[in-house]
Amino acid sequence: MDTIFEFLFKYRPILFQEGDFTFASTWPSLLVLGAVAAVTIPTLFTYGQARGDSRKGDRTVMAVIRLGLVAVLVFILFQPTLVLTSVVPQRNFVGILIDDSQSMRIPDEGGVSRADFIRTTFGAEGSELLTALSDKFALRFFRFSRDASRLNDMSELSYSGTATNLGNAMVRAQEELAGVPISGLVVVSDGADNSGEVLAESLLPLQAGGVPVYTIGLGEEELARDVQVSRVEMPRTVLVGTSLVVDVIVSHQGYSGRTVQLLVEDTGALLASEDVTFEGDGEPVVTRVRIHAEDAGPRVLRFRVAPQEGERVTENNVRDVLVDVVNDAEKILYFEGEPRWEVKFIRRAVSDDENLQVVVLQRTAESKFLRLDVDDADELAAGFPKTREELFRYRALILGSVEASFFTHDQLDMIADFVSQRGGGLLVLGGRNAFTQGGYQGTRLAEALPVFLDDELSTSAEPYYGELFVAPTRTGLTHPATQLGEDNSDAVEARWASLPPLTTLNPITRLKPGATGLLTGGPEQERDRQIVLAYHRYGRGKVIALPVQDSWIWQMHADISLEDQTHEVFWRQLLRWLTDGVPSQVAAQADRELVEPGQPVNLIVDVGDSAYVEVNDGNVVAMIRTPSGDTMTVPLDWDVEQDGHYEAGFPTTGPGLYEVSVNALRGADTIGAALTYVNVAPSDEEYFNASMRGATLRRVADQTGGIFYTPETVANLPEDISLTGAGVTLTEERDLWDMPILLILVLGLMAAEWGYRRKRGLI
Amino acid sequence: MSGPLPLVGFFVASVLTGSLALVRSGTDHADVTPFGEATPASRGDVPEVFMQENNTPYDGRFTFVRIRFGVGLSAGSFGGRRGRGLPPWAHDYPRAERNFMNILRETTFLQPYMDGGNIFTTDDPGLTLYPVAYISEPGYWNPSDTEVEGLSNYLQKGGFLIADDFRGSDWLNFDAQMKRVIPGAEFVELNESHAIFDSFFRIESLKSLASPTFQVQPVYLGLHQDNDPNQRLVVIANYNNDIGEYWEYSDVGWYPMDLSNEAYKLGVNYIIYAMSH
Repeated sequence: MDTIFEFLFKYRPILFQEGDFTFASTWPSLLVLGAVAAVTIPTLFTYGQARGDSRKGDRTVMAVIRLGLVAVLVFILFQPTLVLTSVVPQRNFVGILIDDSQSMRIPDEGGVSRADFIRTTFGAEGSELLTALSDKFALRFFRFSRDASRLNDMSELSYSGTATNLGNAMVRAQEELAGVPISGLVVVSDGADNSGEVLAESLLPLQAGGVPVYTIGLGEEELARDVQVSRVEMPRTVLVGTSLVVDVIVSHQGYSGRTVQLLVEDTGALLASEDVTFEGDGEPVVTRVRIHAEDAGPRVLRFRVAPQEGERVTENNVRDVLVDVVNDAEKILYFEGEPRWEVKFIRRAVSDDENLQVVVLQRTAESKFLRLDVDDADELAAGFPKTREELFRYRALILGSVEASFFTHDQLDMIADFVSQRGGGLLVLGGRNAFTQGGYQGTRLAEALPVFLDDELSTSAEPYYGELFVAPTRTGLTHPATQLGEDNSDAVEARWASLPPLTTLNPITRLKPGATGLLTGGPEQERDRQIVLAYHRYGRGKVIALPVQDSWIWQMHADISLEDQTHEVFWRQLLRWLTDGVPSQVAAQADRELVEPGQPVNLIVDVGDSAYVEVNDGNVVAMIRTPSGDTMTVPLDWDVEQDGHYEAGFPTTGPGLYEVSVNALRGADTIGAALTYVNVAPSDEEYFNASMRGATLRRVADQTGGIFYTPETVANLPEDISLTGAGVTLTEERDLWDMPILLILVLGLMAAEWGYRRKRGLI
Repeated sequence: MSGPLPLVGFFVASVLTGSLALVRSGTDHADVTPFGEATPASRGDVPEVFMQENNTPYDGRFTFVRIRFGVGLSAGSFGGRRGRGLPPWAHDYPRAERNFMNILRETTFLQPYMDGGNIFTTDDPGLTLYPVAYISEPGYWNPSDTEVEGLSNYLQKGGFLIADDFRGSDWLNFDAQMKRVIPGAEFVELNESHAIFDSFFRIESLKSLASPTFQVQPVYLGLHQDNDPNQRLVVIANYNNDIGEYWEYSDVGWYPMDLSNEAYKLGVNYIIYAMSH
């Protein structure tokens, strides 16, 4: 399109965009008007008087054509001119930023790598582009990947950078060239920025400085054939023995309809495999893989798809994820307001699970409590906790059938705060004194619930009793809490369909906005009548509603065989999920999941007291044990901008797992400790999403006043910079009277008149 | 765990339920023999053949369950004789459970089904919805193979059995049948330190309750899961005792009030223990 334009109008469109149009003729305006009139009036008069075979319409057409011809000639006579502002040759600087990351090695169509373009264009003697640029500008070269630095010789490029930080590179180059007139920056890259930083922020100083960025996009915008393990959604910490359902997003190009196998390995041992069938091109597939975390300790799990035939980038078929399998006992308080079977059977279900400690406080009569599995004689001796410190020591709370009026106003607030501030898990069971039947409407606990309590049936004066055949919702089919040990969705659905019905006294039917239903129930043919299991996030924690009164039926019912583990599996998974992600008083983590050898690690520690109020005057120290066994002690500083937040960096050397033990003290008192791991390993991140990011590069160019190029269009770059760039400039005039379009118009109009006359027989 | 308050309430409740029972059973008290046995006429309100069919459907409430069984060869002796009006498994039915449910409701936060209870054979699938069962006169218990299997599954899944009203050589039969149910089952004698005697009331001494009808010292024997004393009790046997008898007649004055209280305390503790362990 640009070529046709240039053929017709003599110059490329950009010159018309950048330039100002004017007439170079110095004739006075009156003279011009007179000349126009002198030609136009006789023309109109002549055509108006002419007779013969012509009709009025013919004369009008021919008059218009003739006037058009006159107009073009007048236009030419007035010497149309384009006034351009262009940079003064050799007075301005251009920074050329060359991507030195691994992704530049990727061979694109035809087997030519992105680095090859750089070698032939910027590294070779006699390169036309380089020569044209050198003629107009003083050039300064930079290389960039994670960092940016001056480049004195093209041989310094190694294409081994394991990350790309585009924004940092541009800012750095602008800083280096501060003080000299800059016409612009040229970025030669695939645009695959994986720094995680906001690019728009890096563009601000360039926009402010009026420095246009010209981007040259290397590589294909879509790899022809590629499979990529794009993302693995997995918690960083899990309890040993937990069955996890991990979401793995696998993307592809060019393999529609193909089924590949996704393998999960732990130091070479196969943990799980799942078939993945690709659909339309570019459509990512979310695959759910079930993994059992058997061995305690930090594990680096490898998710991989075998290289496929015709794939040019195979490094992105593998993703390593660090998960810390901990062997803690999660302490859960189960408060039950009356004697009932759920207490017995929940305790039985988790009795063999060493990682769950369910402490039972059961009100058996007025002011009479039965305590089970408490740690010492003092625990819960005064009944339900009355202080935050007492309640917040538990990681989760199960509320059974206990009426709202049992609690004081403060206790109800405290339970809500247990979830929202402390981040604990709350599970509310059904029963004759639970939910609406327990009078919770209008309390803060009702606000914390994932369900509404104002259903018509719930608020009716008549007691409700309903039988519940249970079925999983769409989410419930694949949710870790509702898997029942089956290995695919169909089997999960069939298992739920075969379970005997439960009963309820709490007809809850409406989810709150943002809540997720996992199980529903009702008569056998209407299993979605009411909510059986639902949850939502509430502040830092989550609240789960299970408005049934007898889940123990899944253990005792005659249809359930003696060997059946449904009830045990359900409760273990439910309680593990309830405590999953519940923060401790001291929580430590690195700011990145994967750190490269030699890169510093930024350690982040959040500290709260026993009531989970942020501690700012703590003495927080981390002890780092490197893979080689060396240790170092790193004190952390409180981040004044965020309560309870401490940070410190520490260096890494060789690859491996770095063990980080954090201790937090306040004065002489220990607040708590935390243990975390950092996986230090070479990164293949450059090979992920390795296609050229045209959109990013276009945006950078558009927002700074530059232009985006591909290797095919880059020849215009030197001229474009000189016309659109900043720096020291001069004004230049270019004639337009000799544009081919004008000659074509003159000849065209003459031919049109002649053709019309021929057709109408007026010759 | 227990304090003085529940005992006071318990006493009041006993009197209350006694009077209620008298009102409800009308002339029943006139038919009670000096041996504490009711005449057929007094129990005739529920003909035997309909007992199971009259079960109340499951509705989530605690419901007392009595095990029905066929009697063995020795059924002609005292415990098994039909002359008492009903077979041995039905001794004290339904007044014992009615009175006991009143006590449970008054002393605890349990809201049980109040009109007696349900009756099941151990191979009845319906039994599994009631995880505590009571068996009377197990000295005459002669379960079929399907009943043995049903009870075995029931207990292993989490059910709890209270065996009551047997003595002397009855033990031999009960023990033998239980070994059919749980092969290798070993009952151990329980003392006051066991959690079941502190689950609601604190039972200070197991010797404070004598057998209502025989000059024998009650012994409380327990069968733990996997024969492991650290695990839950699966069966408790009131050997040489008959707490159902105390429950039945707590409202007519045949037995001293304090003994009836002790029998109720055991019953309440058994239920609370079974519902939490």
